[in-house]
Amino acid sequence: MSTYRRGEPVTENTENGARLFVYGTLKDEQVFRVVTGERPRATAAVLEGYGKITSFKSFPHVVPRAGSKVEGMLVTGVSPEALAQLDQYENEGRLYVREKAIVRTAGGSEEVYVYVGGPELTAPKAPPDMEVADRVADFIKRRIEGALAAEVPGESRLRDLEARVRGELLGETVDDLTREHFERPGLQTSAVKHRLEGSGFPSLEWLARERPAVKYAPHYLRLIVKTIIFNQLEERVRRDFRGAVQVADKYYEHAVSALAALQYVGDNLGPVGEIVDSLGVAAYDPRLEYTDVAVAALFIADELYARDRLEPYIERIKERRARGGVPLGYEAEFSPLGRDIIGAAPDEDPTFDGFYYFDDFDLGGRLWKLGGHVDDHRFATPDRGRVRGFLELELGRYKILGDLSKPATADPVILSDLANATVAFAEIAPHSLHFSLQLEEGRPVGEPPPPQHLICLLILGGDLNLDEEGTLREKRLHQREIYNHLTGLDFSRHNVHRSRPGDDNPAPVIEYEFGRLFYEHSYVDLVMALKGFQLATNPPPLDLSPDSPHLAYNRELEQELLAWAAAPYALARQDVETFLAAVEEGLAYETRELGGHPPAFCREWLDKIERKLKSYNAYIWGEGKEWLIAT
Amino acid sequence: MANRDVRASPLALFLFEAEERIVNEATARLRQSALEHYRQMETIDLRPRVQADFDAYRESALSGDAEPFCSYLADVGRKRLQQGYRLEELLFVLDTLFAVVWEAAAAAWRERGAQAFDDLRRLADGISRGKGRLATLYEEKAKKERAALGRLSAAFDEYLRLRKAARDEGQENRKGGTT
Repeated sequence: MSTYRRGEPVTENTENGARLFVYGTLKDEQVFRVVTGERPRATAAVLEGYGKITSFKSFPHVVPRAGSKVEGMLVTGVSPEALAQLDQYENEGRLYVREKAIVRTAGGSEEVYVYVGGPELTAPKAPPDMEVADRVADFIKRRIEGALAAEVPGESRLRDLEARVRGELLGETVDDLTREHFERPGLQTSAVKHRLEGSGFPSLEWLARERPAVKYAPHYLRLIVKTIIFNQLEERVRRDFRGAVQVADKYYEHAVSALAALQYVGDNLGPVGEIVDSLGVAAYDPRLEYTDVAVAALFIADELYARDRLEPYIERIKERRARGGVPLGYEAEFSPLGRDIIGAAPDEDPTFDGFYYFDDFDLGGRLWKLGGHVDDHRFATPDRGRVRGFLELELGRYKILGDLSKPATADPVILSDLANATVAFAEIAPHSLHFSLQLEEGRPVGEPPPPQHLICLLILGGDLNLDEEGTLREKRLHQREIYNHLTGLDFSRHNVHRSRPGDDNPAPVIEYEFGRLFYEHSYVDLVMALKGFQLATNPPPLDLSPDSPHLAYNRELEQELLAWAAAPYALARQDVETFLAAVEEGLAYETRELGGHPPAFCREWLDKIERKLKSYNAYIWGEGKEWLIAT
Repeated sequence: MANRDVRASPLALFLFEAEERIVNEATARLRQSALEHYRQMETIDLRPRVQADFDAYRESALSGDAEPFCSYLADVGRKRLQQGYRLEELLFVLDTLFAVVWEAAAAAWRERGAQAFDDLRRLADGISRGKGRLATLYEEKAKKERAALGRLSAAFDEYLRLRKAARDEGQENRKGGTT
């Protein structure tokens, strides 16, 4: 047995490529292909004189052990390029050491390479084990970032920094490539480089030619810095708290780590703002480039991040967890002008000019983890150019063009906390909130609901407040904020989660669009009510298109809701009771059939929902004064 | 002095009776103030915060001990200062709440003379410790931020210097290549 030394010819043990004994994750053909780009030619083999160490605490590995043996596969014909990739994957020299050994196969004994436990794995405090998918993703990411760093010329300190900046500025492309690598193993380095080069880096040079944009630059630059800090912290949270923030594959992988990072950044906006001002990166200066702004953001992120500072956030998330059985999503809309942002005149919004320069500042490239885009309530196309509209943050929608998305979570508490953390982070007036619920495939759609049940939902999640004349209104409907002039009320609609391009089996969802987005507000009652309401009878959305099967009924429903929004009236006891009964039935179904919440949790929230509906009625009857201000 | 019997404490009894009026009035005054973080807040967002302040204040009034409120102030202060609230803003919120309580008490106890205000005055004295704690928090935060800012400024200046040197060198090389 002799240890392989770097630089030795790697094909020495056969003219047709190296022979490698694999016993762990590399036995998986998919993993082998993703790492090397080659399809393995494998036969069963036994490595004698070694024992396998398998522990939950660290990576599985083999060590020399007399009298032991390890069963695995012999892969032949491994090219030098593939072996180099495998060395990177196994972190050769640190986690593992590639050694020569003898294995026994059906054809006899052969000399092979084998990755045995290296100095880090055999140390008393070995690095913790990772899921195979995470390990492969880490490898791919390192490989892509390596390709980025190789392109950076100049002095070494500067090169490291600029490589990090490139990784950050091309974060969305790196994420895409990682995802694609899983789906299409064998993506060549040249193709990776081509994609990265083709993505291009954002610049601020255009500002010199677009003088009207200069006065908005400080707001945009501050948002850029803040978002880069968030991106950096989210990545570190994912690395340092892997077990705590990991989600099942069908959910958006950044959701829980994003929550911790958003909350932490949100709690530190004061100091961050002061530092940004002091470094002078939020004031337009023609000498500063986009990459300089990004470097400043990286420095601030480095200063802010410490594992022990994030730990309480992770602990709090863990303590509050309340996993249900329905995949959920949300979309938060922000606007400095409220609903008037649609159709706003130039300069009407003195902060972002209605996010008119969103693409110029490459905010889509920064806000990709949060699904950031501008919605002018028209169909998004690649070449639509500048528009004025709402800033939307839709965590889980990871490709805006192409409309790829996953649910954020199945936990209503995390969903509510995410909505709040998004508001705190954005520092832009919150406007509206859409919630989506993934539907069970194949479950028959029920009958449309009675108007009183939708009114209950509006009481829980709409915007019941006094207008300028002091009259109570439900403002989302009354002000026609969710009203499409071609069809009518946009209360709810069917949609899908498509998780990859050409997904033939997208997950159906229903979106409720009536919610108002507030500062520091709990939405758990609304989400629980929506789930119960939906699961009880699976009602269709309020569809007012000409081909709706319930058009006549839905028109009546719409008129009833608009009339109530204009002059909210008290609900009859029976209506409240039938609504609560439906929610209870739906939540019980979720618990029973979908692995939902424990009954005590459902009871707790049912009581809260009931109290809220009753306090609304008491307010209308003039018996309670708390409704408007205490909800 | 622990006194949890609301009926035995005129101050506690008054704070229960006047709760809604005090919280609403303090909320309205904060919304009308010129404070950066409060003037644009909707009542629906601001009132729960004022209510929480009031609840902590009443907790101290019930026990006759200022400490619960002081401790609450330290927690909220820590959170708000991280969110960028200025010390003056937090002190203004407290002063507004206290002013509303005193005005409401004055109106309710008009007939009962100065004696009735003893509890209120004692509580106010105790709470001044909480204000002192807030000020200390801000001082410590400012010290830490100055140090962090110093480090960051130095690092960023160094980066800009290196970047400029690299670009100058690149330009020189290009010139050299064309001559």
